[in-house]
Amino acid sequence: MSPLMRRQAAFGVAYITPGMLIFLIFCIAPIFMTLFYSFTEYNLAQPPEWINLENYEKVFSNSQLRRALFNTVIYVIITVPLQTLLAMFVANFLAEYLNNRYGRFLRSVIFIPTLCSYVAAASVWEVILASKGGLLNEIIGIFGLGPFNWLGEPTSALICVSLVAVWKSVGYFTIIFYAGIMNIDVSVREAALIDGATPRQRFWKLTVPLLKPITYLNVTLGIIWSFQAFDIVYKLTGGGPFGATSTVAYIIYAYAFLDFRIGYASAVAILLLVVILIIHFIQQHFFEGKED
Amino acid sequence: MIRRERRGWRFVVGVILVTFFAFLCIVPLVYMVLVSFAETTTMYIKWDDIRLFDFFNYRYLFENREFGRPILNSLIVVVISVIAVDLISCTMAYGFEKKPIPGKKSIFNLVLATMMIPTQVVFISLYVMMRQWHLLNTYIALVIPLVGAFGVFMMRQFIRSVPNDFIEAAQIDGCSEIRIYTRIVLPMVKPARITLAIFTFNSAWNALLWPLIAATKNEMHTLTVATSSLTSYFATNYGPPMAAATLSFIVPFVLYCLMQKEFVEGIALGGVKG
Amino acid sequence: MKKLLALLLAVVLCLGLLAGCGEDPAPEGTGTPEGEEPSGDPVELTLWLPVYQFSDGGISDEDFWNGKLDAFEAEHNCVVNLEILSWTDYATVVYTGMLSDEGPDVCYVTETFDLIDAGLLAPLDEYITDEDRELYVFLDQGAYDADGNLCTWPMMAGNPCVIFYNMDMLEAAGITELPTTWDEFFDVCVALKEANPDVWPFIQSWGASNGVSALLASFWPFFFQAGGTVLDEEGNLNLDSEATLETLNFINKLKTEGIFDDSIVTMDDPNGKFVNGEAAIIINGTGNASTFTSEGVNWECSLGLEGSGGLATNFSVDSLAISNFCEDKALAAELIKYITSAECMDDYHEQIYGMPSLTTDATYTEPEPFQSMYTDDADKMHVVPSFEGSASFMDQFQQNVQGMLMGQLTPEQVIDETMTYYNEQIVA
Repeated sequence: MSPLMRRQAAFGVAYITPGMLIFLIFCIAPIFMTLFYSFTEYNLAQPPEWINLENYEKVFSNSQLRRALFNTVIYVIITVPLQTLLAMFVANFLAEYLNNRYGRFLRSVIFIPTLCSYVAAASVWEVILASKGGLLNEIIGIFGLGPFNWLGEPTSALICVSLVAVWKSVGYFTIIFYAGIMNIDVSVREAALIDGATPRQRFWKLTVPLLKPITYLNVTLGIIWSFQAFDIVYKLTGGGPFGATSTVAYIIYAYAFLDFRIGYASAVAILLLVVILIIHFIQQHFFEGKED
Repeated sequence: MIRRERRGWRFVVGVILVTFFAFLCIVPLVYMVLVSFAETTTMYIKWDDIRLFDFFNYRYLFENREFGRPILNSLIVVVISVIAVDLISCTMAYGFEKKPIPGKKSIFNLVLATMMIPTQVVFISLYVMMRQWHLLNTYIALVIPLVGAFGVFMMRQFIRSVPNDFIEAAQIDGCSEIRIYTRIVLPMVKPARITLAIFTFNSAWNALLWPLIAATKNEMHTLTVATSSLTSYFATNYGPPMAAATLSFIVPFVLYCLMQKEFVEGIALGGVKG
Repeated sequence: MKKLLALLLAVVLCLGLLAGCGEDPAPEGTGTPEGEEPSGDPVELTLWLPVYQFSDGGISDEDFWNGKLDAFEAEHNCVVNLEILSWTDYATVVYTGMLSDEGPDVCYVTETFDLIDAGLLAPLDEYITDEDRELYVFLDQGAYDADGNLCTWPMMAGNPCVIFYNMDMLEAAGITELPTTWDEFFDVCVALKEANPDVWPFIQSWGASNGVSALLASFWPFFFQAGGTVLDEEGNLNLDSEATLETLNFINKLKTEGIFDDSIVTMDDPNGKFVNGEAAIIINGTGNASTFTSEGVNWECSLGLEGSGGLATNFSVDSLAISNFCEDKALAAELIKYITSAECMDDYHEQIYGMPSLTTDATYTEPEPFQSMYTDDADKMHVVPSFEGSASFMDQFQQNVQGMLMGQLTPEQVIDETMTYYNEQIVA
């Protein structure tokens, strides 16, 4: 290495060292600590006590956790495809057919729920979905329907939680897809137009394939985020009724920070990590290794 | 302009559907603001209860529930985290992208891999750590988890587009390293930094889980935590919780109205480039 | 390159282990410096109390206690830092606070098992004089550690869960006499439902945010009436019992016979419903009576019903405790005695929250009909003790009862699943 290069390398190390230290201490070390705790019993008051695989044995016989994992998977299955497809359709329509002032206004409006926190979102949806006097039941009451107990019935509660999450995040994905479509070369689209492709053909044969990298990113992010769904559950249903909306992330929170079973919660958290990694690898395979 | 062809009934239906969709997006928030001006005693909210621009619920929050403090806390956390994330992300990204560090690809991949880790895995031990070091209930604790790999990743994508010729030319001219970084590189990626600041702002302002864990004292609660613990007092009076939710919504909303272009373009850039 | 990465990981791993193992255990809390002469810098004590002023008009908890504590501070040359906590996740906040020396020296505690089990509370026996034992009537109701040392000092003992009836609604349904047995109670509910189908005849809080508060007024009163005991003689959990089944069967009957509607599983504000005239009967602590009166509810109440185990209900004993991290435990004990003395408590009961008096020299009496309940029926009031994993147990139990109310579990299954979960996941 030339002296100049060496000098540059030294600068480089100086640039990344402070940041790397923060990463190592506050981001990477905790991962290994959690792995360590997952083999211990630890209540914060006494030192952690090594108990081998006992936590993991318990994790696999935990019916509450099994239900939470099931709920989480359902939640991901509802939210990720719905928010991705909805965002793609809306973005496609806005970009292709409504590329004017009104379209941009609609795009701005659709983005607004993204700004609001899950806490605020859950607070207002709780009022809207209330079984007695809730806005939704009042509205469908006009048509002689209901009232439904939206959050008080296991299936509908989980669906409601998922839909609120979609409502909250669809704007974000719409913006990304919109930009992606606008980035597609105009000449490519014009060529398709001249070839006489119908709108439907253009969408499926041209737009969707060209959006694949963006879709991959959105789906990846969507899955990772959805698997960690906590805020919305914490505020909207508290995991109930009958554990119908408790998610793995919520369970980890309850075990670790309400019951202070740090060791056990760590084991569940590591399990969540493994599940996310497995799904990520499957998905990578599915998208034919389209990373980066 | 490509489009001027058929504007048949499909187009009209499409416009109606998308308009309706946008309407659905906004209605709950409008309702939230309306109810924040209402005094309700039962679950049935009547239009007569809503006294627009009578801020009694807001006054109640500030006078009886001391909401000034959580708002201040949130603002402090947001300001510190935006600065910290900007600083760390830019320097690291520049080092990784433009400097010949041995083994940098592996190190960078290690940083990148942390994006896959669920926050819960980190938070459990981070909490133990913060407690050990007596950092719970401090702003440092609240800011730390907001520093993440995403910023480094994003900034690296943008710094990549800074031509190496520029930097080399400056080096030949005898520009100091610091000068090259602050006067050439940083200004060229300014839009990206604004984007990152917006992202950081949004996640810092809206974070719930970590502040819930790390701030056990009332005086360190952020606005989201204060809002979330409010409802349990007022199960039948929706006014105050809706006022709190409106308060937490209004800050990003105003910012969005003022900087719409940056928001939308930033997310688009981050999403498409990332 | 690979080597570097491996090295990095090794460093990180070591760091993690160091942080994990460098845990300092809670200090053993026996040897305390005897109360030194008041000289030099005043000693500082941190005091955590929960909010009890629920009406917006009255003097705040903070102002009340700061006023009272001035005298104590002057007398002992110390500074008391008061913090009033909200009830949100109260037990959690207290536990985390007590884990370090940055937490409270003296704290109001509700769930005591975990705190004592983790060795966080200082035994109080050495600070208790014979006069104290005569003066403080609830002293033996505090919580004990495994060695039989008293660790908590009762401050709020009372608030039994009684049945409140909205008499206007009962009269409208032609009911003149309050029910005394479960069957009569059920018949009254049916009559109320017939008279006014839009109103809840009886309401419970199965959708409360945690199991402890859900069971408090919805399960325990009936459980004690059915003759249940929470712990057996050896101190083991005794909920896999006939009394539990009987209670669940009764609650289930209320749902299947239409006394409760479907939203019972998400009901988290029964008090509001009762105050607003949307519910005719509620079981709740006596401390709520003044709110009912001020909201204009024409109520009457009875201590409870007669189940197979006779008339009974539950009440609570919440206490003050000293953290093992407290540096001047003798002074902390003085502070506890001062707070619970008639000098403070008489005014507290008048101005903040009514409860039975703690000391023999106190002048405050609860309004009727509650005062006579304490004098006549004290033996019918039972405490729900804090046991290992009690909070998690009650959360799980509440969830399974929700399942029962939605028709997904039978009462037997509720008991079975809860006990299995408790034995395999919580205490195992």
